[in-house]
Amino acid sequence: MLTWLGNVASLKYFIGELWLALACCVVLMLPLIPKFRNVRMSWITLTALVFAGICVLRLPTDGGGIFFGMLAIDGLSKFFKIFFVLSTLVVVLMTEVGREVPDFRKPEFYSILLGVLIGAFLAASATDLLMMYLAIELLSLGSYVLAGFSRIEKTSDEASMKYILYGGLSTGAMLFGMSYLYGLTGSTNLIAIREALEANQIHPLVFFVSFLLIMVGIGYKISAVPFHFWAPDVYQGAPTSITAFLSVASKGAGFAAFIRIFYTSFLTLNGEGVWSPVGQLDWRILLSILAIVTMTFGNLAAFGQNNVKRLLAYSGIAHAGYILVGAIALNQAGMQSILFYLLTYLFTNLAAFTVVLILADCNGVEEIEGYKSLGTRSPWLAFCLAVALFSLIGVPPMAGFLGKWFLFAAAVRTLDPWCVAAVVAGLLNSVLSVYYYFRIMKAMYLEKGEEVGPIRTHSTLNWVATAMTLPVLLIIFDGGSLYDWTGRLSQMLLG
Amino acid sequence: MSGLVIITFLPIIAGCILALAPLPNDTVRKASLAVTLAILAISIPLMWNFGEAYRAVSPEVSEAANSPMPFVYETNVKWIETFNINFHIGVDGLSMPFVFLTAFLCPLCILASWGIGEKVRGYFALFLLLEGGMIGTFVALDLFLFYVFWELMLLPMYFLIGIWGGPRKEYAAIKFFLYTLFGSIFLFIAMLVLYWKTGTFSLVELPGHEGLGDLKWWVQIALFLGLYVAFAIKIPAFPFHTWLPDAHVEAPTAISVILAGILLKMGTYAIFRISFPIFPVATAWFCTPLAVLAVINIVYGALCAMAQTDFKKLVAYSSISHMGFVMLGMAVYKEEAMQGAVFQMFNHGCITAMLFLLVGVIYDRAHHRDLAGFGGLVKPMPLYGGYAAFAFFAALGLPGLSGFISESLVFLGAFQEQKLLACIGTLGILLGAAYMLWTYQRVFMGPVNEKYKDYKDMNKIEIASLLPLAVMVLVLGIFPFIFLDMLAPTVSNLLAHLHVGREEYEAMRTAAEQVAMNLHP
Repeated sequence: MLTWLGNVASLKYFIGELWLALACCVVLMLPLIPKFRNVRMSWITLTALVFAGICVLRLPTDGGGIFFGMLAIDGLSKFFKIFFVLSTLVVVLMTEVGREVPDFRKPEFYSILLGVLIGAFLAASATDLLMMYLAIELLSLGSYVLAGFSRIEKTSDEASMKYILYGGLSTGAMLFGMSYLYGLTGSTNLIAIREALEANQIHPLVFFVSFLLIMVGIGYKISAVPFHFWAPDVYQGAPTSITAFLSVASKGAGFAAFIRIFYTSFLTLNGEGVWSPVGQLDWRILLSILAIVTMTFGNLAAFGQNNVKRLLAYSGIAHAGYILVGAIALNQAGMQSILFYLLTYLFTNLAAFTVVLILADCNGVEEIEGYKSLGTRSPWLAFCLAVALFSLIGVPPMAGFLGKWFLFAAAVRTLDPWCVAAVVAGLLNSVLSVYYYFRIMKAMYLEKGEEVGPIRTHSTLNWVATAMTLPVLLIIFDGGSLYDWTGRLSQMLLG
Repeated sequence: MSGLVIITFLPIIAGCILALAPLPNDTVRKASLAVTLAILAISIPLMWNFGEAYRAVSPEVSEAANSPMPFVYETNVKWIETFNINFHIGVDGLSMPFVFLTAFLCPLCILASWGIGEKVRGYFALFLLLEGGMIGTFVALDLFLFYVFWELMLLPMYFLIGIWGGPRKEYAAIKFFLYTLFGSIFLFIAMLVLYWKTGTFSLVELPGHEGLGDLKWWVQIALFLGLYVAFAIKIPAFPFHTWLPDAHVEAPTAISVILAGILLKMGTYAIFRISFPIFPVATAWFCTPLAVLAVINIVYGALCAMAQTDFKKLVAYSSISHMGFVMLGMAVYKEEAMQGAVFQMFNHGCITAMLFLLVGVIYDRAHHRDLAGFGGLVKPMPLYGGYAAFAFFAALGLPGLSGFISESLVFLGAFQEQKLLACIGTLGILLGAAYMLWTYQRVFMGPVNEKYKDYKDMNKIEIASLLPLAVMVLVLGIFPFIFLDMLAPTVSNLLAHLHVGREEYEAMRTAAEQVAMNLHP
């Protein structure tokens, strides 16, 4: 049995979150003082993010459990915290330059965003059901507000409303499932739950129901079919920077929670890095079906979309399906490849969304129609988007290819028929997805639009797009080191 | 740094620089010509010294079946260590000719693209990227690396067809992309299975790897068939050929040349390089179906070619027919046939390149390719008529030109193994002569079409792009041994491996028949 650190001793591992909480308050309060009304809050936010990032980088990967076993300081939480800080940094830059959020509302925006980030931090490290629930709620509540931030836009209101209704229902279901789990095992600590599940005879049906209900909550966060209905509307209606945040950070948080709960409580790790289900519940088949349905549905539904944000929402659903393939591999390589994939997905998706933001915000274009002849109007931006799209398809030499490669390699390794079926489905889906990604590509390069001359843009956003595109292009050269790095960070606290 | 590494990355780096540097159009053309010529210049000594270098590492004939296939000019650098993926490149007699062919055709294609006036920088940058991808595919000795280069070629190809192509370019480009990507799925899965069985991607270690010994026969056959689909799409073998006419008709001239001259060879090259050595037993199982498919390709392609009214589509279908000869040569386990197959790949690269360049010449003037719309072109354009006659005769296999040698070698081998199929296959030669001569008659002979009587003959750039090919075809037609000597040791090494697989397969079959006999006496 692990010994948990007490409250005071834990604080030194909690400085990152404390920084963020402080910045959250400062950003909200400071503009109330007339003297500071015109200070740019983005600087404070960015500084806080950098500080938090430094604190996170200095965290050990074997710090054990802190706050009496509420949070884990391990590789997994470290990885996800880095992931969240990176994506939030980009989102703050996107918001600051974009015009979707008016200047006078930016302080509250950043404040809420930082709050959401704290929620994501906690979700990555929570080792207790209650803590996990609170973290996800903190993450979600802020997201609801952010999704509806353009109050005057009807679509934004609709987005927020749909998001909150679905969110309320599915987190409610998850809480209900957690209560069953508590009833079965008598504990809310994830490690203790597994030990209880291993030791005692558990009623399989009750366990299964509780598993399903928890999966509802997670599935909603990662936008897996059939819990995805909110995603297209929210992605389309929310400010583009928030869409980017939801598609990367929020999805990442969903996967963090998924890995934390499922791999700690519902699986046991044997010596060879292979996990096996506890409590006679083999949910691999269920998840394989979920993965196959999710990716197929996401891709098919994306076919008819003309709004690029909406199209990327469906693409995001499909990618949740691909990532689940790594999860059903149930081995260390699978977990490692999920982390790797998320990292490549972060760069790829943020590169795509930055270009989408430039077009939507500076030029008022959201339909594929408006992307016509972007290749000649702004070659560099078109190139960035093209690289991102190729990476999403998974064509070498883009980073997305390596990501898919590692995911599918881990799944094929098991030689389990369901895993292989999921891999085959994933590959077929990659080919399917060419069709709709190439609609954008075709518009950019092959078709001639009415407008000519370079599109309006902002130099900061150009730099952001470049900074996100370069890793996508360059990761292939040393993908091995990055993969090993995710391997070191895929160690988690298992008791 | 070895020459191979330079010629793989020089075009890629040059392409990236061209894409970023805002140079005037004329400089871009000259710079890309200089780069491709530099690559040719590097590849000539590689080709020249190859025979000697290869013989030095090649095992004795009696030992060939048990020793690994040798390679020369190797570079092996660790890349992704966790998966034992290496940046491993090198060549043998199968790949060296095609590295050279790529280096040889690319400058000619640059010349043929001189007239491209729209988005010049993008065109030449993508073209150089494509050249890098092609050379990379031929030199890769690591399956993963091979896959990366194989797919890398798709991206520039999509844009080259899609942006600079004909009226239905978008359809043709996406069809090409989807077909090849679909094929790659099977390659992807086969790679993963092979890796988890053996722990390596090395094309040097995989043949005869002990990890493959316990693969069940049906897994072997499934993997072999999967790989075959992936590669047959590129060849293109019947019934996966439907993308080819579309892509060819819509692509600009130089890209058609690359497509027919080099990309099609990748399919058969990959079968030689990957499928045959790794799955010798499944190869023995598949050799008869492969020969049947080959004959279908030959006859069906020729018949389709005969029915065309579009000059370029005709040449495209003739490619399908000619690639059938290659497949037939691969399928029969005879040294001469296999040499003929490799030689035919090379010759077809040169001859079809000529044909497509010739189509381009007339298309640039008339802006249509309707065979019925020409007539008597020899009068206004005697030089053009002469080159066309040379290329047409080369394509129909006139003795003295290189195509004749390779086709006869293929049939020489095929008659010993598959008499009936070889007989049907020779029909293809007859049909080939028919459609070629008929086309020549329709376009060049007869009364002069009034519309075209003032056409100027070929200009210097056009001659410069055709003459080297004609010389190559003639020289190899008279001195084929220059080429055959180079690839003979590699082919006999490969055949030694294949014969072992065949014996194993025969033994398995006899055993299975024995069991069947015992069950139903």
